Amino acid sequence: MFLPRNTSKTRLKEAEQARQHRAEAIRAWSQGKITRRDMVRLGLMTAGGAWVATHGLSPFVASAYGDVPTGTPPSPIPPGLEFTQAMPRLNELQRKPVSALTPFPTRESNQTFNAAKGLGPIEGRPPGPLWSHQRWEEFYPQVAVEASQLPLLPGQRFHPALPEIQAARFWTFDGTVPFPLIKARYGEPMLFRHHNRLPVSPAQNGGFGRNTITTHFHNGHTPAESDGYANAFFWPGQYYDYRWPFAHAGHDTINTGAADPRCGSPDDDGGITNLPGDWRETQSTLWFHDHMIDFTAQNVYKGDAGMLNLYSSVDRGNEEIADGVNLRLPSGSDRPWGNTDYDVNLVVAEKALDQGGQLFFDIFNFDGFVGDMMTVNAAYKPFLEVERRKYRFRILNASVSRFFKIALSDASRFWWIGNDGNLLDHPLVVNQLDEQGVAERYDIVVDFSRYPIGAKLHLVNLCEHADGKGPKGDLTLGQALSGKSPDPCVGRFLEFRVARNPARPDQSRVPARLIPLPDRLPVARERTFEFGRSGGTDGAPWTIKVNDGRGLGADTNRISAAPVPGTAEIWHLVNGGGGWDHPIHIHFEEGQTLARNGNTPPPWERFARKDVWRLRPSGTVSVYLQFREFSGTYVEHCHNTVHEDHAMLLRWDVNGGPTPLPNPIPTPSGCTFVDSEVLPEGA
Amino acid sequence: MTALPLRAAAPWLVAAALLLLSVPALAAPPGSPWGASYFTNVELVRQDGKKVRFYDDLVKDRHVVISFVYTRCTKVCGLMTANLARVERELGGRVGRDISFVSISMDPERDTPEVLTAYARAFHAGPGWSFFTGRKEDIELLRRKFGDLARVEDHTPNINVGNDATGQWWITTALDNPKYLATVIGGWTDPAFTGAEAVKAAGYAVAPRVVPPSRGQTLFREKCQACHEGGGRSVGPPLAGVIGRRGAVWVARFIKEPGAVLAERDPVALELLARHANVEMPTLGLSEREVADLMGFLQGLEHHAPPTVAGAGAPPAAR
Repeated sequence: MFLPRNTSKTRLKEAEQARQHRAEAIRAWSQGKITRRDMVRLGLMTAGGAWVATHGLSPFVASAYGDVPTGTPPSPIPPGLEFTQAMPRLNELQRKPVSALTPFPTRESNQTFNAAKGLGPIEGRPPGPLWSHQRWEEFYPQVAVEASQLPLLPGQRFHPALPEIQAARFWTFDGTVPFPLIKARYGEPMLFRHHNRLPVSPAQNGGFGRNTITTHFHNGHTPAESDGYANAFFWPGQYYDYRWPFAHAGHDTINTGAADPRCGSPDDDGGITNLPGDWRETQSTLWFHDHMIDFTAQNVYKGDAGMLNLYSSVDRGNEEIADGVNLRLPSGSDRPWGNTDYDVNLVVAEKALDQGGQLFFDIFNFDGFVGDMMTVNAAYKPFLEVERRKYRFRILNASVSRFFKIALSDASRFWWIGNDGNLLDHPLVVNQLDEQGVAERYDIVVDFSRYPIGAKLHLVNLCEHADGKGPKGDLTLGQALSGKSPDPCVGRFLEFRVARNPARPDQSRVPARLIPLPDRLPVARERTFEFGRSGGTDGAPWTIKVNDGRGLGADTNRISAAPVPGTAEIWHLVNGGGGWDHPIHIHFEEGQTLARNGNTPPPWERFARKDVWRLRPSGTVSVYLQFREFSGTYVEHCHNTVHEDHAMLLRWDVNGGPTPLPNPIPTPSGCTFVDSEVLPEGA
Repeated sequence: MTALPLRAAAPWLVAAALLLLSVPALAAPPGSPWGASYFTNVELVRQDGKKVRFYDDLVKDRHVVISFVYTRCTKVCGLMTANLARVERELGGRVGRDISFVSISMDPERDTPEVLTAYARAFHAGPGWSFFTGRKEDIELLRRKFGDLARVEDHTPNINVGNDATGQWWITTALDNPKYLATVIGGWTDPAFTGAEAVKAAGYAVAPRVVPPSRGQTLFREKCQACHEGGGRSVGPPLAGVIGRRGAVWVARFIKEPGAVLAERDPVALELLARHANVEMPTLGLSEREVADLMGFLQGLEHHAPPTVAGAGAPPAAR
């Protein structure tokens, strides 16, 4: 239970000690990790089963004070703050000409000496031809976005009534909250220059977070050098030039004559520029976040995350252009593309505060970290004024370990149009979403025209956690709204206030067909990846077995799979059991979900292209993948980022070359390389 | 994870590191939750009998690598400790100078200072690497502080690489490639690290190429090499020629279930145990096929077996 708000200072202090003492043992005991006899032997429990109340050093007794999912006392949030601040929209990062970048971007990493720092090269991208931008001339950047990773600038809070967030605790893009939004379009390759301006000394991290970073563009169809590989991280004082081609998958083999306007880019006059590729691979809602080896959980929690809306001829971000290609989803009409008046990004993530009201993260928790303070776009339980019309919401689960399951508070129906940022074959009419694991993106459309002005309704989370291992269960809407769940992140978390009639008639549509699934090729081979906790002598808490081999922890020197470029494969993702859940993310190309536990998957997976699959307890998911256009070193991992960091991650390469690609080892003075080796089949 | 050929730090680098560490004698940096109040100052006893306080004497202002092991472990502790010995060698002379290794027994009743002394000697632990015992409940507390909630028999093989001057902790597995671990410890958690030495030899041209390993070789590297790489500094005997000495049947069975062979009081196994400071070979949980893969690899070694030499502390091979 949570401490009541009127708890005495002494008890709060004890509870804070409980946080420090971790207070995990009751859980460990209840899960059979330690026995009652152990507890008795340790002097923590009497033979009769009563807890021995020895405060101070005992890690056990304190948990009686703070038995919350975080394993810590509740975040000190004054009552009555829910739905009292307006929800901020994401900060749109400025698009600028590539010529505005100094120095000008280069194909190979710019290894000019970093005179300002007096050490190493100015660019952190590994040097040489293997890490040069693939197909540079062909996908030459036409637009640039530049941002700096910075400690938070002064004066920012999760809520006006909460303490100012200390700079050391939150490291965000350009030092601001909420998170950034990049608007991009197909056919317009982008140069994203990411500066690392974090403190050189890791001492200024407020207890968590690593000052070396690598930025994963999740889940762009991106060459490996711009994918944000876990080992290609860069140091304070450096930048990294990511070049995102924004080419449709199938660019080299499908619609090569660029004859289909559905495979196209919105131009600045409301028209379409045709592109080669498969229009059925069109992506819409992506995000980017840190992928630092062993530190992804801490760094993403700490603010290294943003969203990217990718516009196309079909998903234009303009609801009024009626050319037979544009799907006219809710967005707006002022600009020829990329309107976000009625197309709203929602970054949903929960946090935890210590007793000083500052952001807290437990770096010694390896099961998974869950907080107790729901935020949307880095604001605690905000409200959003809406017009009486249709809105699109792009919902991202940006948590560390927590899953959500979202419904509207009046149980009314809405359209589910996109899964993992890709428009479905057809909209699904639902009154609640499926569970949404970490990193999954669900796009929905809600029609507020059915409500009178002054009405209020809420987004509600139905998914209850007791810890970070996976959901405890899903509640009914009534249960979730009752306030009886011990999990403070269950219930209402975003309020919609129907404020006015639309300024102009709502001309947006939710068409009966959106984007059909791409054709599937004959499959070159199948592979099995089993995600579990291995016992005995195996390496890490979290391991992956490849093709029934041994359970192995992450080793980025080891290539665990090497698909042949241009082929298709089926990958079976298996949950090793134990009642855990794992949201598994595969980089590079979107996959099709062929089966779940051998059966037809539910429609929101069957008619979707995805890049994260929740395995569900003891579940198996079979997915179809292709490996096209670009190559290099990619990874596959659990997106419960605590599991990912310890060390449920493996490397796979798409490599047409004769030798394994060497593995980069960055240092402040520059990047070195070591040789990689291929995991033998069956090992 | 991965590997960096790390050389001994340049003298100026060490000087810089010492300077940095010697400036303000603060504990964990202000604002860090990972100070004395988190880790506590429980009392531990070093293998030479000296009593220490955990945070103040082992962590405060130090760059430290903390592991939890116990000498009677038949699963993984021997492998962890043997691998850490390799990491210690990778770090050159830095362990004992600006980095310290701390191994804490999870079985303190049995692991007396005398037992730990013998254990440290068996693994050729240098002077910068200390082994500790203490009160069971204190050590259980510390284990939980480092996030290990499992029963002792199922403990994680993690190492906790902490630099108290920065408050940064890097938690990873002790069984990783020793060169990679040396990179994390000697480089990525060292605020004075520049990598200048390593970068002199940068470029993929110098990244060595290896022949893709066989399954047996991969297994050997992960499960055997740490204890059997020879050179007189490993805890176990060198394996070149072992099949010729012992016969394939005996070797295959011992690889699969050394604990069972010892329990039968097999004379060869007992003699080997006595000769290797009573450090038991871990039961690695290998499948039949994995044993066959390993035997294939060991048989390959037979053909290249150098003459067995007793020397440099290496135990003489039994004939």
